[in-house]
Amino acid sequence: MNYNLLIEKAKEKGFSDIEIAVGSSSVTSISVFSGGVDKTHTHDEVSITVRGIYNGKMAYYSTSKADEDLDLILDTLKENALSLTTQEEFEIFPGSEEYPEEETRDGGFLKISLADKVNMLLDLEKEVRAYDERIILVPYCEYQEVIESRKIINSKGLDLEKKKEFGYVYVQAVGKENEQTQSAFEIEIKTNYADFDPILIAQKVAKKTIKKLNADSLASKVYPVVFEREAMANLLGVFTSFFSGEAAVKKLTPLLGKEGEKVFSELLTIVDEAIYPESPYNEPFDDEGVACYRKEVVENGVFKTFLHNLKSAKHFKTKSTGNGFRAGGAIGVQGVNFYIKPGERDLEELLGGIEEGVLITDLAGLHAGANPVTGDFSAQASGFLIKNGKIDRPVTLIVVSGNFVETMNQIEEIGSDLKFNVRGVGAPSIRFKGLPISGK
Amino acid sequence: MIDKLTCQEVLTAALKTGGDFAELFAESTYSNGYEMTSGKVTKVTSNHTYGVSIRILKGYHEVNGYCNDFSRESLLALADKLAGSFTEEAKIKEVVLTETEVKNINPVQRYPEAVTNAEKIAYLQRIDDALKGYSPEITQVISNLRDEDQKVLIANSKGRLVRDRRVHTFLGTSVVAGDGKSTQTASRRIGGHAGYEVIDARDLEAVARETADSAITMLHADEMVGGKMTVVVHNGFGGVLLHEACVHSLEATSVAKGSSVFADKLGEKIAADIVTAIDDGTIPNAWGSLNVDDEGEPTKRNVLIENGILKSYLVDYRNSLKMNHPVTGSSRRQNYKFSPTSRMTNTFFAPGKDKFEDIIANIKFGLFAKVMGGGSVNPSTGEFNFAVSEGYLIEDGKITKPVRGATLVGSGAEVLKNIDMISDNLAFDHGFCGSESGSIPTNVGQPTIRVQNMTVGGRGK
Repeated sequence: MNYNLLIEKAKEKGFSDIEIAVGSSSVTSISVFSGGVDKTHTHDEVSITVRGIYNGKMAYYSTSKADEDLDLILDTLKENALSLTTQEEFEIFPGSEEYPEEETRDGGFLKISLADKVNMLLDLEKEVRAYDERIILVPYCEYQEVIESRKIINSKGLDLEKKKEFGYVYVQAVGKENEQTQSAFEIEIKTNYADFDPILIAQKVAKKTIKKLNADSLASKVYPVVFEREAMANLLGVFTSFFSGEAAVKKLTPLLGKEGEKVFSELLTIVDEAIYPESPYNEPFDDEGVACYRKEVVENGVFKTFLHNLKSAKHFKTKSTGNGFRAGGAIGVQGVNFYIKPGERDLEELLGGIEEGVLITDLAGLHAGANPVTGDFSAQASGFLIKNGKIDRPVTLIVVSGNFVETMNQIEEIGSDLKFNVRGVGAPSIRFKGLPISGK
Repeated sequence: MIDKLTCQEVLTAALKTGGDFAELFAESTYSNGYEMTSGKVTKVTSNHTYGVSIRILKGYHEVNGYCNDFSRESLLALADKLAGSFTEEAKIKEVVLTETEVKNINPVQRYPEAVTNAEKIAYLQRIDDALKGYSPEITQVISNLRDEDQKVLIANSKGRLVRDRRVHTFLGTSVVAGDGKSTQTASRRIGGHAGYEVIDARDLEAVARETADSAITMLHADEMVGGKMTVVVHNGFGGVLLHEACVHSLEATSVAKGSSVFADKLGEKIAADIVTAIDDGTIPNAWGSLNVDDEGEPTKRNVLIENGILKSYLVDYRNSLKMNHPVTGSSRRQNYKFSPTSRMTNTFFAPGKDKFEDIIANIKFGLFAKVMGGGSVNPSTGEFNFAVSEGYLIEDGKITKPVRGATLVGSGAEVLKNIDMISDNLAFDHGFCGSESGSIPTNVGQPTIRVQNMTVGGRGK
């Protein structure tokens, strides 16, 4: 596609501004099963999203057809823009003064042969099976690498490009004992291929699976609860829209109008960071070309700022925070490396002193069991019963319930073990005073 | 899209290194999305999904890839690259295709392209207008309209060549109610493998009011107190119980690997005698229906469980080889980017003989889950969950006060045995199911059912 011609044509057709975002990715994935290759996949792809302002309103057109008819794009955009009746103001961005720089490193993904990557997975699968005879199956053992670049060109003269490469390994194990099956998974994302250690990943997932065996439910009541870091990141993940300027414009967050107020426990600080060491989620600029930067979204319990894109920032008469990222075509709001600031002590120390409580390691069904508008959650959980500061036995098929704001006011201690989930949301393990657990 | 000779040439090239089977899936899909927030049109997006996927099977080993260029050179280059995974002599020297006419069970009256933006937005406006001044507790109304017109070409080395056109139209509305202290939301969906006639057929004002009433009722509801109890799951979206608790675990995706709790159980009793479960992709214009699946196989009515006995799994071509089980017309993919695998279409419990009133009448204490939210399952353990978005307590045989925040959890193998009453009021609702091959439209359905001894979660104290 001739982007400059598209910009020229748009001007001729009466668009005040237009922007083209081009994403190119080259992806290889491999899965193994039962000692052999199950699937291999490869593609090179270009996806193009065009957005244009006509009559003061902005509409979107995205396509994976490289030679899409330019008139079709512009005529559709024009018709769609004319259908908008929102009072919101739209903007195409000329560029930030400066952008954070990240050391560009070769992750070495392309230097390793496909056969070596297959062998890495086969070793991993074998190691999981060999760990314990109670592990009966490894249903998923997968590797994927992504080499991508994103480019933004617009009629305000912006011309930016960024590149990224990362790979991940996903493995799931199933264990069985006394007619009960349990499963656990492990996912690791790395920006350097050499950092994958199949033996270590295998041991982690196998250990997790075995520890869950012979789980039972629990009597229903309020328990002191520790959310293990992965469960905590997933819980925070469903409520990131609390901090979204877009959600605030639509009045869909309870934090509306609460900037500067103490909303959460003073132990809680939430940070959004552009460049985090070795993170695959790092972004020098967002999908609107605005520079990303570090900000405290919550500082010692005080809600400091919403995350904004250009449009939501305009609505609140402030500046974009560089969090305008595309969600299903149009620009929404998303954190970059969005995480809860870790504390001093590790998980074991967090459990110490709990007479009877629950350690939650997994949450399921949060897409349905958590309401990002109200903060209420009621989610399937599993983990361990804690007695006298130590893990007593595995627990499954319980439901943990609460409200995000209320829960974040019940923090007793934040752990030191920060880890990011696959969506760039990070949390350490956190101990809470008490939450209702439903079981038997 | 791509001519027959090119398809033959590409499939032949894909098999030149000893592959047993090759398939080409090309699509060009135009979709549009419209959003109305507080009576204003806040978003209009258009999308063109355009690409072609090739996959090769050698034994059970699958190699697949895709590109966005339909030219002969580009397709041959992709076929060559994928064939590079194998090194043997060609077993199939030449692929010859015969085009089969697709029987259209999903006729469309009003194609998205024949409906103007203004007409589409008028549907959203009707919902908003219906709720203007309806209640001071309504704080937000957001509605979304989505239409999709997908043209596909599917060709494989067994000689199959089919073309199909699939139109989906969907409208979803969400209402937020608040009273300063608390907030609740409710949502409803309308959809079909159909054009805009599927929306014309509905009383949008009634749908809007029902959504608002649900949110307002929940605003004044008590928090559910958790525990084990009898649960009555109402018809329509209640079918998500069957979808999550059972049928995901009947998909070949997990059965073929032996990782499903229902693997190796064909012919065995896995549910109560009164339970019959069906996945039927042939219901005309239903949200989960297809003329042919994404391997070009005509869809079928598959009886999965009959009177408690497991009769069939949902099986795609690749897994059929491994499982020695016939294909069921259930192979689906979100789009060309995903490799197809066994998925659901329109899944439901067959109606029983019980009357709704009788089901409620002899319950001392329990939960009436009138409207369900979504859920999820881990097929290897069978442990599932789903959210109740509008619930009521049942006390002494009567539906009494509303309760909110209830979540149901259980194990699929157990819950199917604990169903002890099934009503005669089968109804369907529309959902999106996310799994290995992406997000696809699926219908869930059931009559009202009663389940004994379920774990209900909630934050009431």
